[in-house]
Amino acid sequence: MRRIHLASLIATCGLALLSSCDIQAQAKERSYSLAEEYRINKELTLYLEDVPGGETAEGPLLGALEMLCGTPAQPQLMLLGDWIDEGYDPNYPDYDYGDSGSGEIGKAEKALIAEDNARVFAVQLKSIEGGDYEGVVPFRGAPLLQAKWDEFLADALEDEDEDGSPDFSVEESPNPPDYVPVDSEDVFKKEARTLLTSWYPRFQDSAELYRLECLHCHGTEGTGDGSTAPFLYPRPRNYQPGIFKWTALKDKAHPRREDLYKVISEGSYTSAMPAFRRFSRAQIHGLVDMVRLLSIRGETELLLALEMSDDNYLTPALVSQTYADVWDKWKSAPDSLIFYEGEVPSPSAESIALGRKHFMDPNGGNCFSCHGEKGLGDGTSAWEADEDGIMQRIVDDWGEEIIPRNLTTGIFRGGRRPIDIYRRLTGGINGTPMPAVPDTLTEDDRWAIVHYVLSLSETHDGRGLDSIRMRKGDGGHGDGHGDDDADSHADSHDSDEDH
Amino acid sequence: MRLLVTLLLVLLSVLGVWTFYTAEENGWWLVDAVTTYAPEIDDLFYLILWLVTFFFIATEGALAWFVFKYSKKDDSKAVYSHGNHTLELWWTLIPAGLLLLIAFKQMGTWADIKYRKNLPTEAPIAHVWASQFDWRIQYPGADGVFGTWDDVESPHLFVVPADENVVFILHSRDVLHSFFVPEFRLKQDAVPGMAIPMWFNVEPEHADRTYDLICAELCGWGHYKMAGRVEVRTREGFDEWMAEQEANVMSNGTEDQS
Repeated sequence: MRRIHLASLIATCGLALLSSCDIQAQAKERSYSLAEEYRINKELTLYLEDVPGGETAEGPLLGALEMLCGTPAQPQLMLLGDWIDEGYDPNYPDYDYGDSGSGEIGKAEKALIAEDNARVFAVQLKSIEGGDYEGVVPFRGAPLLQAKWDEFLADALEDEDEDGSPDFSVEESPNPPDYVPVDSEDVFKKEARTLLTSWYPRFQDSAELYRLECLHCHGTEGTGDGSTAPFLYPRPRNYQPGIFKWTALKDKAHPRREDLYKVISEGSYTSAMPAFRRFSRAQIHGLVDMVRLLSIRGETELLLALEMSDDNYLTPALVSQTYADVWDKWKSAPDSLIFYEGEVPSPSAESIALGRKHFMDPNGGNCFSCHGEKGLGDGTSAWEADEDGIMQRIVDDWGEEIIPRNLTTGIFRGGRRPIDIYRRLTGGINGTPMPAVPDTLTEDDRWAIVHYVLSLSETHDGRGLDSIRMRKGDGGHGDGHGDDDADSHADSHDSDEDH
Repeated sequence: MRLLVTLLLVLLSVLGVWTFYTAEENGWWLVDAVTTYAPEIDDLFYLILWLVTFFFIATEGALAWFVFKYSKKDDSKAVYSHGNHTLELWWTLIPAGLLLLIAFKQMGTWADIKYRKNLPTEAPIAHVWASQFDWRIQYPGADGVFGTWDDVESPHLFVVPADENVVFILHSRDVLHSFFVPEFRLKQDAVPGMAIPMWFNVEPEHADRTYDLICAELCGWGHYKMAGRVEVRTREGFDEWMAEQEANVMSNGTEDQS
């Protein structure tokens, strides 16, 4: 009997422990906390406990940040005084500037979103076309749209005719611009269609999506410390310093929306960041908003912690000035865009040779010092002796060891288009030891390096066609494609597949 | 008690049959079959389904009947029986024959879809690279040659023309993955180090739709995130898309200016 008591006691304790863990985990998801340490640069780290005032400093800092960026359940960007006058509101990127929106989603992009929404909500749109309004399938992952639709439908159905069918007599528009008077079923259908296709997620929607899909790696505050993070290499991005690797920008600028969009949509190939192209266009834009909010919150937190460690008090003026400074960096990002006037030059034997020369020139590209003479990523400059004289890999701004890209694999995390590589050369990789090439290299020189780098991974399709040639029994000679020198080279390399 | 157990067994088989019978109206049945060979696969499926249904009902019925008939009624002793050679011979030969029937019946279909010597002669349209947790589709770009500087890389989106043989080559960069498009009735493991040629041909009436491209082999923590799309377009739509992509590869970045 006693044994049974003991067992039930242990079981109860275990259950209590488990449930408390769960409650703690959920509590962490419901409120933002402060980072315990702030990496200022490679050598310097500021610890929150070293900030004057210690633990008493946390309250005001947390409060200030909540005022600026809201809570995980209710993220909201604070508006600066100037913005209110201008009619600028980053909480509504899909509304036009001056129309209490930020105008960041242009007309062309809105058209693409509408097209994509029509695909995503095809089932619902079909049942609306068919007049089955009550039977519209719930909108998964868009609670605010669901609420809006319910309201919209309720308004239209408010006065039912005696025969019970919906009455589409004139309705007052309760909330422009999403609602307009509805006076016929056709107009109702048209408006319903517009409501669904013009859908753009609000922060609450995006926060929920972030919680489900991003949080387990990037963490509640976007500091890259989610529960899966310790198992990953490279580590998930910490948004806090506002440094993002894959941008199209120079001068170590903060990313543009388009840069974040590209990484979320296409992923960072062969890192643990998957491509989220399965989300709708609108949803990815919502996640971009969310990442920007967390990054702005994080960078403001970092700068305010620095101010506090200099014995400055957090005054409203200091807080909003810091917040405005961080915003300026984000808003000025498009000025640093790298582009090339003119047609992208095609590679030739000469340009590849020239690229090779710059690749190997210590006073020019100097690429070989890290990427190695054959582009295998085995250069010596990627290593440094530590105090004991043991060679260690050098680290990036986040303190992670870096491995220079093996250029022969053809995998480029920031994109493999020629312009992507050109941008990598011109802007470097933010936060890593990969520098921009010196200004002494002209645009043509850079394109030559691009041609050389891309030539390192060119296969001219030895592999793929090899496997198909088997059916023809011609022993690997010509299939109309890739029938050149590099092809026969690849043939000999992969000939074991023929047996 | 005897009646209860018998009824339970009968109920079980009725339930099993009922599940299949009502599956279609409940939306549990097969998804659309859109490729040229999909009906053939479905025919095989139905053949096996009917065989299995017949034997399921027969064996369940026999089981229920035996439970009813031979349950312990009194204190009579069990009878020793050496079995029946003729009976055993038949219940071995008939299933063996049926197995052979299935084996021979599917062989042609399997060979048409999977054998390399039966691969359509069209040049491959793309290399499909699976990796943790990513589908990358590599098109040859404007010059028509794979592995050159103007290759088009499309993450998670495989755009193909309808009404023609689409040949592509499946690779894996790291672990086992599996290329699975349920509507195509096509599933193939991607094996690291192997280049696996595959093909399908989507019926023209199923163009202008997107289909889910699923990884069907547990490949790691992000397996569930490895969901791509296959977009089937008409030939014109495909060419249009490809021209857009080729222009995008040759972009000089000026269109990114806001």
